[in-house]
Amino acid sequence: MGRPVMKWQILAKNPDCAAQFYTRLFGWSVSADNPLGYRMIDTGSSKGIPGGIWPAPPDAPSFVQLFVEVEDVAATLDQARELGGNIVIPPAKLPGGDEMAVFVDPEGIPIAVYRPGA
Amino acid sequence: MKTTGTSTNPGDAFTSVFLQRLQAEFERRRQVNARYSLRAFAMHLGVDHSTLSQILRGRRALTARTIERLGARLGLDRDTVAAAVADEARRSPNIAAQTGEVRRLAADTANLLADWYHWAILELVRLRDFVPDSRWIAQVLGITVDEVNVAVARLLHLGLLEMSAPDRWTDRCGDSASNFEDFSRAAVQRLSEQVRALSLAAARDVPPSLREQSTTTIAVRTERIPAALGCIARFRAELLTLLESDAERDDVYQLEIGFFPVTRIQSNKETDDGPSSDEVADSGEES
Repeated sequence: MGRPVMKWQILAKNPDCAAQFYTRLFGWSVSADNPLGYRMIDTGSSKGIPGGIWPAPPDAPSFVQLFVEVEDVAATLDQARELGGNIVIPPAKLPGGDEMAVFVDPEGIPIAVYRPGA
Repeated sequence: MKTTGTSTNPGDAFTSVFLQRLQAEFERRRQVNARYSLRAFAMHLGVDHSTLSQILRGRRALTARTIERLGARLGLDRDTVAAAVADEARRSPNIAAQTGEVRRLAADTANLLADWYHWAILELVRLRDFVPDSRWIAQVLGITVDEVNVAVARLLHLGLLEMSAPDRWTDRCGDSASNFEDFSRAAVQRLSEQVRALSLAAARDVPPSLREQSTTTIAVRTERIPAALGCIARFRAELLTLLESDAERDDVYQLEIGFFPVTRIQSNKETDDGPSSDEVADSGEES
């Protein structure tokens, strides 16, 4: 099945301001009606991949993160560690059903991996 | 007194391919001409002799640009230089990633202790009626959903919270964390464990010339302990003053100081002297 990039998210220090900025700029709409209160972005187009906005911790910079779909989240993290990455968020089963984890690659770039819930 | 420490000679396991080649070339020239000096080698390579000395002793990192420049002077072909640059890059990101991780862990622990709601979230998780929903947690605690989500990410990072199923969150602080002080202790202990893992990785991956990791076991007179603690405080202050005096810095180090009894002689003495005030209070509650 390969390991495709399926989603992206903006980590913003002020998520409300970021949501307002992008909805005004691109005409996107944002909905947070889900258990994590996650701001899901609807770009208004069937092209491209979906995205969202998540709060960045005060001590971290704002950045954009990619989500790579994998079959086995734990095995992918083991492999990332062997290749010089570090685990930031260990595997977590989110209220929506997806299993997700975050690692930083040897360059320090945080990448999320996830396996969709059944 | 028993001391274990690190040798000051970099072993091959820590030496990059390019550095080994550079050292071998210097040695070869010295065998041809016993009077061939470091200064002459530096002149041939077009670098300052003190810089070359640091490089050869593994005390100065090799950048891609340095490898390319020195490689050209040594007459290495392009593929060999490219392989040496890649080898060096494979070594340094690991160290950078580790130091970055220590910074993240330390920052997360500091924030964890600064914001009361981290502990409160774990308290909620223990409730039978807990709802694994950031909006519900925010409402119960009177904080924003964003604050909940940042706190949850931190708790996950430090291994104090586990999301084992979509509807099951587990407090990983352990049964001993029954109040905020215990929780703080658990958080700091978790940081300490993770830093220790990085320390082991440094012992494995970082040349001995770039680190100091030693341990000493020594018999003491306990009345000396306050003075010994004073020595450690002064050493720590002096070292930090020295290291913070440079405006421009190019690496991150972790300083760990541990000085503690390895026996239970003092703890047993305290127990023999009678129950503590806490124990008295506890027994009063039970009666």
